[in-house]
Amino acid sequence: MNTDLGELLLPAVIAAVVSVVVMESYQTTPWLADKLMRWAVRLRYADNPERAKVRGEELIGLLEDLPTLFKLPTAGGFVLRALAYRLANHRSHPRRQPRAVQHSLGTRFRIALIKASLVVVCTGTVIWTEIVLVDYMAFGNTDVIFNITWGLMVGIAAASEVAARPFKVPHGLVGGIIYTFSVSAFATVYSMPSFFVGLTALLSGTTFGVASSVTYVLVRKFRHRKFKHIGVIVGTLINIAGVILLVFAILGISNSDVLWFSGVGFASGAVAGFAVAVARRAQDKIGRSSNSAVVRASVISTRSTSAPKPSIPMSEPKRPDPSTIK
Amino acid sequence: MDGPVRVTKPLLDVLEVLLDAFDNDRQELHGWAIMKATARSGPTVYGVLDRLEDTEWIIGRWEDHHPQPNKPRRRFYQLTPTGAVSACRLLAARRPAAQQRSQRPTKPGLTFLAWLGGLLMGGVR
Repeated sequence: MNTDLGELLLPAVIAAVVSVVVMESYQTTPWLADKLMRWAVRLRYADNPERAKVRGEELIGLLEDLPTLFKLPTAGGFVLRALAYRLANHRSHPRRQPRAVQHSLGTRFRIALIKASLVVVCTGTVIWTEIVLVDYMAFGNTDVIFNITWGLMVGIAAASEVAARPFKVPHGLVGGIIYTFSVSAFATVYSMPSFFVGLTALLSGTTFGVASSVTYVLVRKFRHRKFKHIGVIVGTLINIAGVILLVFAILGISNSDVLWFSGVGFASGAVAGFAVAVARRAQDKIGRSSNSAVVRASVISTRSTSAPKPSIPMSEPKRPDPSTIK
Repeated sequence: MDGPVRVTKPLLDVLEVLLDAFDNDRQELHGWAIMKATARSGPTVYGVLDRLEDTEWIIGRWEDHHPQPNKPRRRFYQLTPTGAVSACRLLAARRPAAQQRSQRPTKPGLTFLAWLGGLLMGGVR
């Protein structure tokens, strides 16, 4: 009896809920369209306040003329067009000028050594902590040497990425190769089967290289743009995905070895990519501060020695004749 | 005066509509009317209007009050004289068929009425 009553009532309840939702959305559509349209105008005419004012009033008025059903799609269209315009035409910060000053070889070596050490310590510590936690929670394993070795391995791979940056090699390649060899050595020491060593090392190295490259490129590319944290977010997600694969491997789902090594590769690569980006940022800062110091020094020396000023052409560059432009 | 940077199909559509309105006693059109006449979406039409305003081919004007009560005022657009000439040239180059269509001879009866009207208003040209 109760079941019959439920079967009868269920469609009626669903119909009532759907109708209420539709009615409410129908009433809120104009409000939402209005908000979207205002946002679209702000985005599209950010560089022209006068036109933004005119178009704001005009387009809100246009929504009034439209049937309710078309209000939201039209406002959405304006938002998409404005976003496309902003992505195509807007750059929030100008590109940084190339550095004029080169450090001496000794200074460069010291900087590279400090950076590499920092990267080894930082990435190694993060990965070591992750592996220790996962290993301990799954097996109660506290093999400190095993975990420290793994952390060190990741750190060295990340440091090699830092060292490889000036040579314009593809992102993640050197780190991936170093990581592959490290895993091979690691697996050999821990007496894993030889076929398994090569395969898993390659898998782990590849995943490391991909994760490192993606994280580094995103962090660097978006550092001056609106979504500047996208690299950190994606890197963190890759790292978490790697740790989840580790957990799956420990739980024995599917081929646990493949999961384990690819998981370690993803988790380590993401951290390494982020560390390399941080190291590069530090390098940029060092370059900027030394540049400004050199500029200050040159200004002082010019004032004190009354040296002849460099001949800089002071005339304005010629403007092209408008009549010649088609 | 420079023309619009990019000549696109929507731009030609909008120019065609505005030129028709200009020829038809210099009528003005608001955005929604242009959208309906060109069958183009709002963002497309307003993108074209932005470009035409930048090049001063069209001029916009706010109406005092909407004819219907409690409705926001609308902005009307019209080709400027130089814009009309330039639009005519552009359409003649890009859409000769449309130009011929807009310049087709009117019916003989209407021609006679126009001649008669002109005569009554002050001479035949």
